[in-house]
Amino acid sequence: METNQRRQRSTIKQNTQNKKISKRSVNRRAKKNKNNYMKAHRKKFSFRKSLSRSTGFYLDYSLMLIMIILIGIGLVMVYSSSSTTTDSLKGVLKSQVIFAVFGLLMMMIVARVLDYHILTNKYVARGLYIFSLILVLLLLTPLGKNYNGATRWIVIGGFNFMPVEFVKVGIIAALACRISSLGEKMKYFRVVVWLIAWYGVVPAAMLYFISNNLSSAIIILGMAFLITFVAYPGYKPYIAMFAGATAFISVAFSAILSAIQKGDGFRSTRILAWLHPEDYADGEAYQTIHGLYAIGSGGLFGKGLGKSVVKLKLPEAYNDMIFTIICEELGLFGALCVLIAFGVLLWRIAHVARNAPDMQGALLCAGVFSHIALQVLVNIAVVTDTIPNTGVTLPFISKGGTALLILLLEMGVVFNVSSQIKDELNE
Amino acid sequence: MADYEKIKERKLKKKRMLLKKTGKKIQVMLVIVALLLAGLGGRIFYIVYNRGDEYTQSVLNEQTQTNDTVLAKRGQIKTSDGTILAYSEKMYNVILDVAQLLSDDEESEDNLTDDTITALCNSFGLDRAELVAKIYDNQTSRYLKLVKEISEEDMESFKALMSTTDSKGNKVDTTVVDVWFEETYVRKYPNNNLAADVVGFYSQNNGGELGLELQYNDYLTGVNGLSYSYVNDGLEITNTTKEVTDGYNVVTTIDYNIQKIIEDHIIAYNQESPSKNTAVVAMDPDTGEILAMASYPTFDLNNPRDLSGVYTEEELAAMSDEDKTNALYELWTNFCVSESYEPGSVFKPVTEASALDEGVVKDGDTYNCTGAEVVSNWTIKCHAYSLGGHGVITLEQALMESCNPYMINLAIKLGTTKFAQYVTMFGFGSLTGIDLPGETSGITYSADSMTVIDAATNSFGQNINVNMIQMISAYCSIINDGNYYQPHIVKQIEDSSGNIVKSFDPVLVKQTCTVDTSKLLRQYLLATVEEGTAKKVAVTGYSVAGKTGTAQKVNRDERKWLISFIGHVPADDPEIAIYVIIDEPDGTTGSSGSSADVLQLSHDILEDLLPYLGIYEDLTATDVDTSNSEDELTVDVPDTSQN
Repeated sequence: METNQRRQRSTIKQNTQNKKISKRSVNRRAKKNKNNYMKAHRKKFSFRKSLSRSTGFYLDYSLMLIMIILIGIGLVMVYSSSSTTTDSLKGVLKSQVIFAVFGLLMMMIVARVLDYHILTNKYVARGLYIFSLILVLLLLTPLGKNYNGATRWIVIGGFNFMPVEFVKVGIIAALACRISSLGEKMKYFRVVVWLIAWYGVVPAAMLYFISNNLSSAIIILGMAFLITFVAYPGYKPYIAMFAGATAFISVAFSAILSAIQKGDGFRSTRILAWLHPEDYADGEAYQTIHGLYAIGSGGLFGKGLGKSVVKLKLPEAYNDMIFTIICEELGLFGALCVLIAFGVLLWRIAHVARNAPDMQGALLCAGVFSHIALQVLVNIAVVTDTIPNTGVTLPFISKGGTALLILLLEMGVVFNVSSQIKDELNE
Repeated sequence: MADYEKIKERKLKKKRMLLKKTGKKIQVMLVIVALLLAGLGGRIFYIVYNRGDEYTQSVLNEQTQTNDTVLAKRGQIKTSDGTILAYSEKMYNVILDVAQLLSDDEESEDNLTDDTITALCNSFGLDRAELVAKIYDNQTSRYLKLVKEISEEDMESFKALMSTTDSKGNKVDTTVVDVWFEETYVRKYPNNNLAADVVGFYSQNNGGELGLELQYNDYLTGVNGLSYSYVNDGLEITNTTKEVTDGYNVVTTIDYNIQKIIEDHIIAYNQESPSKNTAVVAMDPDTGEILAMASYPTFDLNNPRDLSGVYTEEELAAMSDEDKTNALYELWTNFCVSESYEPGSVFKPVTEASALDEGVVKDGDTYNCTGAEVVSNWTIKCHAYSLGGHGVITLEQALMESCNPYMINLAIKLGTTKFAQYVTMFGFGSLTGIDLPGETSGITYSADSMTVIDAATNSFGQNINVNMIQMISAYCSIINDGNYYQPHIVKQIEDSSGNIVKSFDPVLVKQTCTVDTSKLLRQYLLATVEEGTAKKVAVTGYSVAGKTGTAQKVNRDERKWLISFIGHVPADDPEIAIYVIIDEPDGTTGSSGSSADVLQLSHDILEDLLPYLGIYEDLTATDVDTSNSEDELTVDVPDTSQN
């Protein structure tokens, strides 16, 4: 109090001593002070809104729990299905555990430290999207690594990753940003068509033609489709599109069937192997039929953890076919548990999306939802021979460092959104 | 200010509305995804319940997998005195894993492909350009067979190129990589042509293809060892090896020396005057064991598809592939077992034994041979037709002089039914069951279909088709008190360490004639060699007994002959019976055909054979004078077969 008074006094003294105090300069100074204050405040707010909460950091614990369970099942199953190979513990499992731990740390950073609005910032979102497409283009350079007839990996300094996974993040961010900025214009369907074309068809086509990766192209297209579906205010064009696709597929399917019956030279072994996996058991349908063997021989409660026999026959059973090993070792019961776990996970993500504080948050969550849902559905449909074979990994469970890391980062975004949900009491 | 807030409020409301709508859509999406997940759950349920059993079965079927086969060594074929006729030797095929080599080369800094090719060319004398072309053509191949059947030393020396030891004594791979050696067994026949038809040969693809290799294939083959890998209860992959069982050795009854002596003489004879076929079978009358079985022409077992030993180059060049195949089959045919022919006069002891047993004739009975006999309007000549017949001769003389009318007389006395029954009883017309493949049963008349003229011609061995084993087995029973032993060529089967697994003891099949008949015939047959038509066979110091035969072959107008001698030593206590056939000897067309050649050949064989056999010289008699001996003359047989 003493010092304040003295300072005040001295100031007045100075002012009175030097020159006459103008009203304008006082105003200017006041304004400057105010701006400084606001700047300081704004910075504080935009960096971490939730820090202002007196209750502390909020986390969707049920979502966290179910995700940890799935990752745990994944690690156990990756170990089990690779146990017949020589470098099971030191190779396959070790790298997967490292990625899981690192991924969880990154997830917490994304969830706590950052704000998801950074992702939907115009420049960041576009930058991510374009960066991911450049990564895909990099596959054409010598950095791309050819493996089993398809170029899907980029190797930089001994570290290799799949650009596909970055594209998924890229389109989630880009679509969330674009759609939220479009606002009410989303009610025009032509806008939706443009969005699907730019953020779905273009990356899907690039992936298909550059890395011969049909499955990822399908997933990306599906994601664009689902995110715009969520954002579009109506149903009709989507129902029409769905009906059209169904009609097209059924017509094509019946045409193929009649061609096969007539004995015309229908040569797509992928389709034939899908319809009659037994006939192609040594070739095209080797994986499919062995996956079915695994599912069928598991029975109700399975052969017991680690007791799969088919995994000896399935090369890299810990990749796309891991769900069949779950069926074989844990039985129908275990498989349904895993399905239910995915269902709960998706429900929790949808819950976060529904309660997101704004459109950006909702769309980001919807994007993550569509990513996980599509991969789960396509993977399980493939291993049960419900649709023709295409290689898609099972989220959280299949082996794959890049995929797990990206998934965990996406989950970090979901947690970030969930932590910013306004309490209903505050509404 | 109020307007501004209002606008802000309205904007916020709109935003909230949009968000609400989005939330609703997310819920719709969640429901759809949940329904699809439930559908997939149902699909899994369907698979487990409807196809579970089937797929479980499939998994079980796949569970045991055979990885490695340890090849079983094929058993040996040996003579009774232990000489190896066939054995298998372990050798190695050189295999290059091209796909692996190329991918290794890509990852390595060294030029692996080049080094490996150089090493292969240097070690196995391969042409570099050819090898490179081969590798280029088979870039994805994991199994490229480069060299077949190299020895173990060659393999070891190449393996030395593939790894070196570093200063610490560890094994280090060199730049020669991805070559491996496949074990294989190669069948070898150290005696080449010896008993070729009997031993037969073996090929990788078809196993035993001929002779004993075929007949005893199951014993010789052995059981390959297997490396199973399966999942045990502790869920580890367990490798279990099922031990390999090498094939059994087959010990034949063939005596190497007898076989060798006989074959040498056959070859010597045929070099002088080539015949269509020359075949000799030697048998132990007391056991039915075949002591030797040889035929000409023969082939090299190590190179069974080579015809150059039989045909000249020009002849081979002129032959089509089909001709060659037929020529090979003809060459591979074992004359002693698979060919039937009309035996001729060597059949006469059978006729006499039948007649004596039946009692239609007794020792000393006579018959007047006028040089020809008329039966059912056919005139059948005797060998002595040109001499005006044998005149009145006894049963013994009939055999000595090989008189046809006497035999016809005996057959007619026996009657067709009885005669046919005797022929059957002596084993003609049915398989003897000798343990060699491809035996022919010959052609005989049944008791119902035999006519008098058939009986008449059969009595001296024409119009009846027999194989050599049938003939010599019947002959052996006649001279061995009527004891007909099962003819066989394998004595025993041993495992690879020499333990007897199975032995084939002599089997007495039947009694063909009485002891007395046998004794009489031994006497007659001795007389035939000492004083009759087979004088030339006689060996000084030994009591050789036997009977000649000159049979006219079918297509009588071609006037081709099959001359033969069947005999045994010693005359009264036979230890060995021998049957020699020369089919179409050199220059036997026309009336010149005589048994001289076969008698000389038989004599030569016996002269060498008897000292080896250790048979006592039971005759103190001086040299048999063969200077004035008369050979059995050929006789034209009327073609009575057209009915």
